[in-house]
Amino acid sequence: MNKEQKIESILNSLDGVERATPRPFFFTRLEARMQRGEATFAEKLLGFLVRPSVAIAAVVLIVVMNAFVVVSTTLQEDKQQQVNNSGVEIATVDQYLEMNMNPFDAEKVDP
Amino acid sequence: MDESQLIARLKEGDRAAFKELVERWEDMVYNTSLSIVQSDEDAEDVAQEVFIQVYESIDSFKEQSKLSTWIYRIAVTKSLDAIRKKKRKKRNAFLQSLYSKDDELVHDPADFVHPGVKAENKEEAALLFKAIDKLPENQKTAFVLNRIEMLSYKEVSEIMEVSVNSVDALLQRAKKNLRKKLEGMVK
Repeated sequence: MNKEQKIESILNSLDGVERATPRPFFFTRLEARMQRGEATFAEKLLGFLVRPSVAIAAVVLIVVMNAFVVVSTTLQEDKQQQVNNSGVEIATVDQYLEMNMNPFDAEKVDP
Repeated sequence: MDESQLIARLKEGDRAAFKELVERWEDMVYNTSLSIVQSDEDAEDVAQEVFIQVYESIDSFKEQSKLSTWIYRIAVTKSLDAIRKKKRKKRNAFLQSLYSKDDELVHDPADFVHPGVKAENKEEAALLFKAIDKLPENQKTAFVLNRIEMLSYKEVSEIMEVSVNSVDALLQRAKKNLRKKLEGMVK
């Protein structure tokens, strides 16, 4: 067989090739890998959460959020107090106007 | 269960439907991967990755092609990725061996013999697979799908998302390149 014939024979060596199949229980191994993958994700998440830097950042975040809530509540209470105080003032002005009502107007009202 | 029913059940996360999908297409995926990566172990790994991706991204499958075409596409992409990864690893190992004190050699794996090849052709097929491994990615893909998976030009063109004429051109170039590579390998 010359070189050219040999190459031709090699190129034709796939004639009649059959499909290769995976080892038995492929699905069982696949399922096991998928479950391992899910476990690994949970483990990774837990590992990430217990890192000192993440834990400290979480504590700082909680403290900041609490401080924000306390400050905003205090400010809101102060504002409410101011509104209430201004309400008293108006009442006082009404009382003042009532007290200083023009005597002629009073006459008009009560003939 | 027909294909659209299977897809609908897969989209609902039905595990039994997934089992049916795997059993229906595991040989197709494994054979394609094995022919490209040329290693039993890597082909098993790639085949598992293919089905995991199918399970996770079935919602993004728009049914504009057949399910098998979509699975073939994933199998080819994953197989080519596995080869790139392996080559990168081999290159790094080689560079490390240049600087390491112990003269550890990086060996090429033994000749790959596809288990579906007829016994009398195994020796010649081993040489052919060595040559196939050196082909550019698109020629290798077209050759494997057409000559080993026995798909028509049209099916190959749908998987590779190119025209039928392009597949024809790729296969002609692949055969020419294989011939050239084999000339250097045969005495």
